[in-house]
Amino acid sequence: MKIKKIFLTLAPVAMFLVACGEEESKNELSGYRYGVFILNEGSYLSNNGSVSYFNPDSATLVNNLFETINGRPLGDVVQSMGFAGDKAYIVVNGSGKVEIVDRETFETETEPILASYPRYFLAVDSQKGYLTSGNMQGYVYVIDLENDRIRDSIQVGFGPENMVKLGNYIYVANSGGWGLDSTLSIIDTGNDRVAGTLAVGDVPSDMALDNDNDLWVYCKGYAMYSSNPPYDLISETPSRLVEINPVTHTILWEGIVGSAGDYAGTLPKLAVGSDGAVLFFLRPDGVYRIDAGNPSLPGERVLEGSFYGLEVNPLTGDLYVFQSSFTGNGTMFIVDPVTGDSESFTVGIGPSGAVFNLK
Amino acid sequence: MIGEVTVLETNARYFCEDKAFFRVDRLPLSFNANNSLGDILVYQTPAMVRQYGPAGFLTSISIRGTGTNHTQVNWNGFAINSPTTGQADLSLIPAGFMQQVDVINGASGTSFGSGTFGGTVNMVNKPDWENRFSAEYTADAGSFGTISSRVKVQAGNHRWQYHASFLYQHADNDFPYADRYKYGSPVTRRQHNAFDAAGLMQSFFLNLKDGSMLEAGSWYQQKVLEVPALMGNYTASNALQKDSAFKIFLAYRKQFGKSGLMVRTAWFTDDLRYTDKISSEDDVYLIDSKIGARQLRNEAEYRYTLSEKITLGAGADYNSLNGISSNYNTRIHEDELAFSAFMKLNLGKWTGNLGLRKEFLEGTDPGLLYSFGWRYKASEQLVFRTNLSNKFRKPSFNEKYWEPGGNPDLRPEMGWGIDAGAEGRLYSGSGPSSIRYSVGGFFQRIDNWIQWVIQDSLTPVEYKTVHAKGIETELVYQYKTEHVQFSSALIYNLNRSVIVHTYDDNALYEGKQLMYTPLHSGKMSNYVKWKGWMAGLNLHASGKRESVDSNDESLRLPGYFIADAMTGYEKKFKSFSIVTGFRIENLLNAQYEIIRAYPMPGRAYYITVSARFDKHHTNY
Repeated sequence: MKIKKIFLTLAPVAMFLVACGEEESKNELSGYRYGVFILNEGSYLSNNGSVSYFNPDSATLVNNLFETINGRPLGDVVQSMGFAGDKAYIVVNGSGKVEIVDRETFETETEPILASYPRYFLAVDSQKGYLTSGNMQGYVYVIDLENDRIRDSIQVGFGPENMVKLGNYIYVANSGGWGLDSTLSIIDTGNDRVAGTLAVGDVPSDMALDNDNDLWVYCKGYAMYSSNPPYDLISETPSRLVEINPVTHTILWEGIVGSAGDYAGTLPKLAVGSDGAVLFFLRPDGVYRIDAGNPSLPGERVLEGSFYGLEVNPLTGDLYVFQSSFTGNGTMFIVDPVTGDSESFTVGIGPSGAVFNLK
Repeated sequence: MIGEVTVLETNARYFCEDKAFFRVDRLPLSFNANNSLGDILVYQTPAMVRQYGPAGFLTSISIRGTGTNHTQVNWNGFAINSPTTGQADLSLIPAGFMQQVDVINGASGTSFGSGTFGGTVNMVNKPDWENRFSAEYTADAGSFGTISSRVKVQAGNHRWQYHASFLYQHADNDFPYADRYKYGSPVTRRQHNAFDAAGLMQSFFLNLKDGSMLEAGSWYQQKVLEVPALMGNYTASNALQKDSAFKIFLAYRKQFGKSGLMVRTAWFTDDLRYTDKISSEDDVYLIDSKIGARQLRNEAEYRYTLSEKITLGAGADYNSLNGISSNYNTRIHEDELAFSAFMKLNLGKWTGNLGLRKEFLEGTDPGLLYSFGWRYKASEQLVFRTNLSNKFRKPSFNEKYWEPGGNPDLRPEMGWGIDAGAEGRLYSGSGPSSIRYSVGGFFQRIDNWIQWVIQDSLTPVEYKTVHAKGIETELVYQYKTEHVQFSSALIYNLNRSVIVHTYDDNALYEGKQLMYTPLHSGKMSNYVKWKGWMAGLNLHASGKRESVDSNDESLRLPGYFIADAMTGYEKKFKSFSIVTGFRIENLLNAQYEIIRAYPMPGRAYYITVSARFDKHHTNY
């Protein structure tokens, strides 16, 4: 792709390709408790989603970690991963399950939790976790972390995606699923009830808290098609970044970054810098940055290229971006946003994001 | 001689001795009457068949490691590949409906037109002029709730023949399998996997007084298939696919002194409807996708024997295609026109074939198609053949017009190929034994291979260049006396089909073996018939296969070995005979997947009973 040529002019590229092997992973690293986990969706309906493990200190990469340890493939559309206590919860959206592994050994010891169209998992405290689920009417399932079973369900908006925790409240982005929604649901973790809803832009897809504990929401916008042939695009609402004070529920700032049709090859992902003072977001032509305290658009492009996912290493501030072709293995680029230095790694199929466990 | 007309061959079959040719034996064709064509081709030819499940599932053919839309399937000279996908679903073709089937590997674009990088499968309905009246009923039942029922009627005389075949099939397909994608690899039964199909084929042949022949045929096929969830899925599937197709044609052949003329015209309609719901109680469909195609196909061929040494041929094709779908912006209409010319040189031991073809397609030009080949018969035991030709594939309606993403500017896939081989007969004298062998190598280049990728949206692009190369070998032993017939055929293929480069120079894909194309594969089919008894053993071995373009080791599928065994007895009375048969498929209970995450059934048992009434005994 064009990105490769651009990278070669931007910075020296170092290629590391580590073949996965049980001996290597078990001896070199003391388990998988510390590191970065890359989520590879797979090519949809092929059961080839996977999780890759990366240690940023030693730059060691282990692909297909789940299958290597547990002897069976992970499944179809590996969407997200969350941590609670000694366990990690891997949400496999296409297969309808959440696999539970030991954080140290990455072994499964129990049956997975079953749910219809599960998306994201977040630990609330040591006793319970929440799981968003549903591609139309959505629910947040309350998971009892003692026995890893669903004990309750909370009805939220349509197509709930990821969640952000602030104090005793959890904010859920209702992305509309296969319909339309433009709200966030606020859940009181004390009584597992919806305490309120916030109106934001259409199709809220990703969220993050900055250093002022303001909540940033990336709203993809909604593309509406006619229900009669030739099924023309009737309307396309704009994509927005919205900054909200989650306690007072006031919208502090919002700006239009594009329109709904822009996101076929790129996901509307945002991430806060390691100091919490800047916000990075993805557009079809690269990664942009705005100042969280004093935002103004269009923002500054810090990385050119077409990417499927964006994360920020909370310790080092490096950008982790992903390129996915879905017909074969994808690539992860780790880029220093200040110097532009980068490294690339071959990961699984359709990498879309990562979770960092660097404490 | 009343009505003894040599059925005139098409130009495609007449000018093809320089190609690798595989004929399906009549014996297995009639024994496996209730199976699909894919089941037969897998054992009798080098072709690989890709299936998403047992009987009833999408079954597509891949020859020489090329794509599933790179093999043209013909019925009485008409290509029946769908204009919307370019593929032919072999599960919609009951083997027993055809009287003759053969496969030409690496068939040239000059003879067949679009989509022949792998080759062609040629199915023909042929009259049996000796027949007066026969009726046959076959019932088949077996494991996983499988039943099928076939009725065949033939009537006629030396002047005319009428032939009708009707087939009904149902299977629950709820076979047990170990789900290796789930915790604990539980053994479960396949859910939501049933299918129902019905088909009716009729053929009519008439010898006219002036020695010409009129032929008419019709074919109706319908199938409803429950599409199951992938292995490892905990969510049930509610997807359903309905296919229905109707074809009708008329053909006329006339042999003059030195020349022959064939004209034929056909009308094909195909409809596919795919639906899915979130839950089985829902009334509203989440997905309701309909795709239809209507085609009018016309071909005229002429052949002229200029001298003892030279025969010339010419052809003209005119097709009018329509595509209808809620996924196309408007109703699609395309016209196709092609002219072809051939020459055969008969120089004693040497035979040469030359072909040229020019296609006139809307908005695209595959250039001049050529085919040049030789056959040299050193002796009965040793015959050499070689052919150089180019092939192309016109982009399908879905690739060009699917909303969103379709790309109407796509150019055709193109490539030249070379084939060379040797074949011959050993011990083909007066004794009961004969051995036939064939060994050949091939190289086929395919440029602009179209594949769907994510750019700004999911869109098909001219994605890669592929070199398909390999070796095909076949050894057939036959033994025939008045009481005993025995045949054993062994096929071995080596297929190194690789991506040379992709349009975006992705280094991860260069030099990688194509998906679902094993490097090594072999088949063996054995039959014996002694007095009234018959028995057969079919074996199929495949090496490991890749499931992604980047050949990720963790996604590789292991090799597999399948054995099918059958036995039967025919009891003959005067004009009446009854055949009872018993077969075991996947005798060794292999647990395997042809397409990753779609399990194939383990061991299965079937019984067949067939009753036949024949007014005039034939050599069926």
